[in-house]
Amino acid sequence: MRPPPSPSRRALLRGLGAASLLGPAALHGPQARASVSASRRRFLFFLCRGGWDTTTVFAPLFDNSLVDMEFDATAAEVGGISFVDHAERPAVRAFFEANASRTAVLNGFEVRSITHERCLRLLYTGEGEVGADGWPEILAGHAADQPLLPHLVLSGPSFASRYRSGVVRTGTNGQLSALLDGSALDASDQAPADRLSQATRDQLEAALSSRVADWTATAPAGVPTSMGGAHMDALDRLAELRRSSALLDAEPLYPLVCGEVWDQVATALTALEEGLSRCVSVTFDGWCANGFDTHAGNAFQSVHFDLAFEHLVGIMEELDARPGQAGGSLADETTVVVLSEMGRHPQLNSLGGRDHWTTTSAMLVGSGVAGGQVVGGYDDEVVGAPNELSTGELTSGGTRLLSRHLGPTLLALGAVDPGGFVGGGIEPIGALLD
Amino acid sequence: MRAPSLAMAGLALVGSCTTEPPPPYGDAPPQAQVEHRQDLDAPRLLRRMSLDLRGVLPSVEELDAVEADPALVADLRDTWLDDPLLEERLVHLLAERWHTRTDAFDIEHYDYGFEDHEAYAWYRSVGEEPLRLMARVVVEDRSWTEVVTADTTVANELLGAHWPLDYPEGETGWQEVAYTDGRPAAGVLATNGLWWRYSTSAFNQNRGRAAAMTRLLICEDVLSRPVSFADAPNLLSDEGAAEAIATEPACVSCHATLEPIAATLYGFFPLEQYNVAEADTYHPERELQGEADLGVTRAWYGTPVDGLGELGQVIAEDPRFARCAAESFAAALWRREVALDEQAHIDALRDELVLADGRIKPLLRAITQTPAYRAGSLSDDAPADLLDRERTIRLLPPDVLRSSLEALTGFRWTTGDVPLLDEDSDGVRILAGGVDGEEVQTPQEEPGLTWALVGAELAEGAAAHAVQTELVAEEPGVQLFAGLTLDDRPGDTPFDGTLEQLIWQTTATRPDAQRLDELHQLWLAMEADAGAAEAWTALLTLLLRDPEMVTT
Repeated sequence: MRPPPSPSRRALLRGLGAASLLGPAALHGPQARASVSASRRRFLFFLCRGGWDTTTVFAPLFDNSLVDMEFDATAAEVGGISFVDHAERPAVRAFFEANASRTAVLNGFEVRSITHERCLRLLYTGEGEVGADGWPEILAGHAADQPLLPHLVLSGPSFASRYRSGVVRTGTNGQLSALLDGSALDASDQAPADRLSQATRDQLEAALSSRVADWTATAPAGVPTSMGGAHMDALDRLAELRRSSALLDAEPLYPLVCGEVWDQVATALTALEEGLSRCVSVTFDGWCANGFDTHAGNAFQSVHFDLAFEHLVGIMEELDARPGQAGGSLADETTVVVLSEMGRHPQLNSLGGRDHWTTTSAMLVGSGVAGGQVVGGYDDEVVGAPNELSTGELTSGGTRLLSRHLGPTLLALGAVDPGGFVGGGIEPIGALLD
Repeated sequence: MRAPSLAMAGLALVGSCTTEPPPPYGDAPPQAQVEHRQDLDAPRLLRRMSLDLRGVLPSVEELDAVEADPALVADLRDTWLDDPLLEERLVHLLAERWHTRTDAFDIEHYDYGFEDHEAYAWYRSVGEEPLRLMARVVVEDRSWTEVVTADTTVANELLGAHWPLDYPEGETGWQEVAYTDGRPAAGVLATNGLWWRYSTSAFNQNRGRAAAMTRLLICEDVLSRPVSFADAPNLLSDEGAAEAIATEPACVSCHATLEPIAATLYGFFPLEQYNVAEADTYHPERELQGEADLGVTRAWYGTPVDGLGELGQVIAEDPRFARCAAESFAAALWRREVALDEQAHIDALRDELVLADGRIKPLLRAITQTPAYRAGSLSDDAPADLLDRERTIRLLPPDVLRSSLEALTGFRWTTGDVPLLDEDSDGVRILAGGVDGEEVQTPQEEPGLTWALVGAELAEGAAAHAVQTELVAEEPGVQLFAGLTLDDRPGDTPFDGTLEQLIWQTTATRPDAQRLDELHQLWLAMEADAGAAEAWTALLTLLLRDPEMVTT
């Protein structure tokens, strides 16, 4: 394990600087926003992989003697968001000061497993059944404008079955771009001396499309029409992507030092801005990719969170700066979903780390989100306190939140009827919806 | 190995196809297994079997033979069960489920002094170790029980040079060898490769490994059970946590199952997770530590064991072990999960495995005779759930795309000898629809954008290589264009014969006159613009991307 870093503070400076220049009214984020229909809303999923420690940012449980809080951290509140503040995490405060009005923290929902793989599946699919589609895949599959790259996965998991053809991975090292510009073949050990000319290629592609159409039309009964349809769709989208492939070569927004994902963020934002994707997914593995799975040395959580929030500050700045398609900014049309697959034990273990904990937090930012609030909470046992879904009010007769409640909430934000995707009786968390 | 269940004997299988005699192990299949399904025709069925078992297309001669006599499908299938290519194919088939062919482990390549360009070879060697042992057990017609009882592993020269193995000095290749560090005989359960993929920590204490064992070996996914801390009071006190583990049903169901198994794995428990010496060497002195650390007696579902060696033997005798083998191989070849209403069918396959003394080849043979395997179409009145479930057409997985095109054209899509279709650090395995065992754990079932893109580049590379080698440079190559020259044109016998044969070999379907005419016209148009060599490259690219080529 490498020593903790001295991370760049550029995001803090950007965030605080911008906010200060605009005066106090702008400190907690923009107020007036252009509306966008839910069916056209887009989503950026930002996964902090490894299981984050909610007591580092989201759960200021200083009054609970059973919880080992960071000794020099303090409880803070900005724009209706209560959080754990610390001098070594300036990006967290900077983020809330700039974005609290459009940010909702969801505290105290349970992901009913303690293994990473299972928790990820539960987080993204609710019930965790094999063959279930994830929320990004479902949202992308219901995109109103049939985008070219419905769910663009820059990194991290995807759970897809019915909507698998809508999932487009870039590869973690520019593979998609290398395929599109031909370098993946041209740089290979048996690279062709000459590539096909464009004229020949056009003839070839036309012939293939015709052939696939004929094959689909004449397939015998029981051969899934979806197979031929998916093949046709893939060829059509590929042809279109070849015409706009330069969009996938976005330069990193900021330098990549150790673990930053600015390159992925840049491509993700471009895909959203250009209408190429409804959902984009970026996975952040913490500083120097050490991950949030801190069974030893929980101090790394602080470093990871600060860098994560640097990214979130940058993402929101970029979303604000880029135009949307409805006359406002891209931020008006995009919901940023910040997740981690599990929480961490409220108490430090003998290695100064924290073990797995089933109850965790999430954060929604941007379009469609009823911001400036924390919904849900932790009870004395640091599990989810029941709350009234529609208001978020903590009440003993309320609902104890599970990961399966997150899905209907996201689907509601995307104007997708959750009925076919979640079990009966699971309602969206209405309190999160603007 | 126990005797087959009499109750199950009546449920044994019969293939519905008329091209080969009924299997020798039963009378009639459950009606639901046959109903609504029509087999592929003999050449297409042969092609599916060849690609599934060998990873290469059948030869023209083999296709010609079954076209003339469909009964030969079974004979060729039996021959291929003894083909040397079966072992490599099994490695990939098993990897889709065991997920050990990953691109990274806790111990990284530079921990052993490897350069970056050597990383792929090292990681694949590690991840393939358990897969190679399983594949070797199959191809040598040994009992599947050896997967958990063998006192050997299968390693190559890279592993042999760095791990405590009696790998013969100076030799190369995958060989059956033994560890020299005192680890017990437990087949894959005593391989570094398995436990590097399913690593553990001081917190997890082998529980995750135990869960992987139950999922992989007896098809029981303990981790699918819900785990709720909210339902268990006082978990924040040591006493409360201990009481919950002992009394809360949700806690007990997992802990009572997993911890006695986890306690048998302490010879593999690392005191430091990222320490090479800890990870690549077995620690016999820690074998008893698990009982003390976890507070349980070592056991397999209530049957006490005295260590990992006995654990393997007990697993081998567990009825669920043979059944899980039947189910997992069926799912691998059916290219889908087994449905709930097919359990009797799996029982019958299990009986076939038991009757064969645990040998997998008879099981593979039986699976290829099932209607679900042979299905090429469904009747118009097939119920919706069958239409939704059955894979009458299947995408070629990336490893089969790679091996079949390499055999056909001689083209190897590699960079620095790393096959791009076989990894994801710089390669395109996932983008081609494959499984990396981490981010993507099930193969892609339908075409997608990146699948099409990878296929386009691969096909062009393969076609260009074949044309350049055989037609332009006039080197021997793989004889794909035997008898053809760049001067031949549509209507010339070499041209027409080559084209027809290419279509037959790549798709196992005879082209009709209209299709041939379309391709003639296409070739002429491209030749007029760019010359014969480019026209042939494009035409072969088209054939290699044909929907009947990229599917079975």
